Amino acid sequence: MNIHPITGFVGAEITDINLARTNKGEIQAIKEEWLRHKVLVFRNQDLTRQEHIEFGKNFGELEVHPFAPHPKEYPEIVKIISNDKVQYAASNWHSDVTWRQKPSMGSILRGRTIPEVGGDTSFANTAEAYNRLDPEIKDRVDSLYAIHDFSKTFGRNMSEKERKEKQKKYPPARHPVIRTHPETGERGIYTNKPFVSHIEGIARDESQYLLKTLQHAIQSPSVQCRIKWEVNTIVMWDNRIVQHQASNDFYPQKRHVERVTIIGTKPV
Amino acid sequence: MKVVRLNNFFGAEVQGIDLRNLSTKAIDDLQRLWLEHKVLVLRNQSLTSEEHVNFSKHFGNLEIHPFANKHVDYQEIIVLESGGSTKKTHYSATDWHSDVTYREKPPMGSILRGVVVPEVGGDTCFANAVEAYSRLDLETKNAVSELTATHDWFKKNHHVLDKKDIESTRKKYPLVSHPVIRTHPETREKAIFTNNFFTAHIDGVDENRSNTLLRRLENAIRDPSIQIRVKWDETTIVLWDNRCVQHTGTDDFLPAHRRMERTTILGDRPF
Repeated sequence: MNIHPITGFVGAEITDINLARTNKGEIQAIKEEWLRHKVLVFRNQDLTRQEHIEFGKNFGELEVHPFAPHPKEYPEIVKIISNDKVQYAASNWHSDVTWRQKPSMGSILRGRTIPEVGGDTSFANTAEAYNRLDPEIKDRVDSLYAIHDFSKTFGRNMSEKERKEKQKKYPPARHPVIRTHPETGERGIYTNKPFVSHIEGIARDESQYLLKTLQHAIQSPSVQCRIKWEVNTIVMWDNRIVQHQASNDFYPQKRHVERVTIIGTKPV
Repeated sequence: MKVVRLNNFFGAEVQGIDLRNLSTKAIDDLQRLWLEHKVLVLRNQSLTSEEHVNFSKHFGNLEIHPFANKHVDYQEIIVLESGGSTKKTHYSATDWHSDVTYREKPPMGSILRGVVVPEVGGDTCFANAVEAYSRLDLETKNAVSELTATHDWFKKNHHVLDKKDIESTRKKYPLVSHPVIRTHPETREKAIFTNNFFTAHIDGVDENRSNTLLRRLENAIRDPSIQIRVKWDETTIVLWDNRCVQHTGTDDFLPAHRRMERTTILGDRPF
């Protein structure tokens, strides 16, 4: 197993490993590199769906996504397809399923149909984005909480009735604006546009201003890396300390990627 | 000559040429490819500084930069260097911009060469300002279509000048107004032409409105969907078209040493 860092603050490509047949030592090494680099990229991993799931289970329990489509026999796999109907998906900076009380600790995404050009995924190190905030902004956001709500993104195509039912089942979650990573202790920005409705306990204008300022920090290319996909590329990222965005730049080409999502702990 | 596209909208890697030894046809091809792809990445090119200057002259007259550090032997080359033993612990070109927009006639293009490249980090990102414009909402498009903005070197460059030179420099490089949305003189495409480095304000609207519009334009440029990211090595040359592309460096390589050399091709007055 060899490690090739991608940028200064986030990402490493791992070579000389077969994810369909890993041993305990390799899983331990992957865990360590994952904490260090936050995003790991593996190429040419021709996994079956079952192997994708088995690989994911090495890192924790897998979630079943309540809104996203999945292949019939594999409820743990989220199918993310962009085609004529949905011309793009996930093209806003976010961390996965932050509207849950216990959002995902990590996601493992696999390329199945990849456009010849376009459809890259960008990743941002939210701890470095936080480090670079003005001290005055840090002070203002340090002890605040934000409200995360699935309906901002997944409620758009639901009927009123369906949305109300789902909101009962998945009530808005309250998470710290700046989250502390439970394993490394790093502090990172944990707000995003697709799911955060507002910051709690401050005026609406102030909330919008702070959310935009935090998003701006995430958008800095100096804290990012950009991954080009191939069929059977696997990327795993740490949702506790990384945000990501898919590029909406490949239509009318098709893109199909599949994700397993590892359940995490309540953010602190 | 083989062309590999880097993105659906712009950017291409051109393979199988030697920039030290170009036929007239190869130069024509490069010019055409540059217009078509906006950013060209050329790998495995071992140029000296002199060869870099000579290659650049195929595309127009070169600018002598008013403020930047220049190469000891070639005043057409500006040196962007930090980290290592340079005593420059910061790298400042880390926001989206087009080069030298405070000039009445800003450069049409820039040609950057990796000279000392850190093992990891220091990528340059490029944004397609045409695609960014086309994705603006209609209300914003309409609001900015006829506006001009004032560009000023002072914001970014005053710290390199002695106080006594500021006034004479102001006279030499007075404030200049450019259209907020620029039309490319050759392709006729429309592109966002404001940036945080040099744009002081939008003309003829109040400060709030100017800030709001500039932020919307900046946000359009900051979208990864209209960007590419280029990793450098010491044999890489990148050409970009300043009339329709913005770019930013990244400072994630520090404290490692990074040295780049740039030539800049003179352009026309934006319209």
